[in-house]
Amino acid sequence: MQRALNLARGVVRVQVICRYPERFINLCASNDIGFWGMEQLDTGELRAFFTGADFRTLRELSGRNGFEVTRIKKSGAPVLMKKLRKRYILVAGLLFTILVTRMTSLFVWDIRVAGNETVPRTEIMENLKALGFTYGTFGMSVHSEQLSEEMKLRIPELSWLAVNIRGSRADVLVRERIPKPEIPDRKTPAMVIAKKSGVITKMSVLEGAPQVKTGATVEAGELLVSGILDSRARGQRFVHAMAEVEARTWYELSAQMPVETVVKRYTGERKSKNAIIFAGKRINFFLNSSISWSNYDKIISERNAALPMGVSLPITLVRETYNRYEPITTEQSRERAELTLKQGLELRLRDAIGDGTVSAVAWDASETNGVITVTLFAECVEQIAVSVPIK
Amino acid sequence: MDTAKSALARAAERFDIPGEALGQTRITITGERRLFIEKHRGILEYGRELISVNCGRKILAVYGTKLDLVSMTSEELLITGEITRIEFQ
Repeated sequence: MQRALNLARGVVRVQVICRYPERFINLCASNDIGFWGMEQLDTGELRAFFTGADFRTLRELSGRNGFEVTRIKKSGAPVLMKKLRKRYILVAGLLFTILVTRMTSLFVWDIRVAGNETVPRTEIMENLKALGFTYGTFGMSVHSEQLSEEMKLRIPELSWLAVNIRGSRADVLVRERIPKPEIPDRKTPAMVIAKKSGVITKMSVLEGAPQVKTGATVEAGELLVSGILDSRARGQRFVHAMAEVEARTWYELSAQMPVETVVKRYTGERKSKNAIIFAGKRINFFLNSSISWSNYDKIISERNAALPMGVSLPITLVRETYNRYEPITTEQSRERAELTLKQGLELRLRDAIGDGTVSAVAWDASETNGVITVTLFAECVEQIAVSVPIK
Repeated sequence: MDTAKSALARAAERFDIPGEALGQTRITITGERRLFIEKHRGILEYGRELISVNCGRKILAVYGTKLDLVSMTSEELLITGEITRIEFQ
């Protein structure tokens, strides 16, 4: 701090020629002249830093007190100001740059959204834009609380939102509402039907009148447990039938794939196009936007420009890279094709049976007219009961 | 006068009163290369191998090699260099 203050006041490196250095030092102390960085040369002379004002006092004291002072170097703000005195344009440019930097930092040029898991960032950004908060908004005009309330009305999935502005950067923090758990309806009269065909292996009825027994073969949609109870004492009444019915089911799934497939072979030819997005407006650095190649991959990379201190600039650098390729028809091995098809079929079966288990699997593979067909035969054990309301 | 000061210093020591409160010199040595003196009375001798500091009742002689009086104000001073010996005279 003291060093910065001294630099602001101006610093002089001084060489002192004296017979008795201790006398000079004591003279400095008695006249309240501070110094630092003192070194004694082999020739007996002293060198030290003094402030500009102290150097002037020293000059007045020299001679009659038996020492001489010589200025070696001057530095600090007064020296710089003196140098810049005749460079009007440079000073004006410097001031203009400082002013522009200061002014631009008052506007929002970088918006970062955090905390969203299901609500997409684009939806949040679009709604913020509709409320007048977007790139280029004057930072001090943003009312975080008001914005939060209006955003919660616009996007009901949000439970909380805060906008923190630091310079030209805005951090939009959101919290999403936890969805209400689905409460099963157990009051509406309902019956239990089979969602798949199969042979019942286990049946446990929680409510309702069972219509089938273990070992029975049922079709998809067939009534398993009725929601209408009839008794002599209470007469006919409707209940919400519930049951867990486990059954053996059978699947036959097929998938096909041609033996010949098309793959990309990159030629090594590459084109790049650059553009910048300034405050939401795109400026292209190319005239012809079309690409003459018929087959190419397009890779777009965007990078926000920022100063080394972390200050974001309202500029996004866009680079589009085009990699040319030629489609090549190749013949893949039958084993590889079958493996790919089998993996796909296993996934389909897993999706179909849900929590059920596979008890037996058989495969069949054939090739006809350049097309490989793989068929999966599976026997499974799974829940087939589903409650449907009584109309 | 010196006797009175000495008596005052002894009394301060007995009653655990810090010497700084009575205007006594405070000397701080950091390692063997920095010596900081507060409330000195001036420099009596200045050289690369010996710096003598007036501490009031005593003179503090700092011996060493490549000694430098890095900074000094009317109350404080800082000596750096390879300090080999300190002596009250």
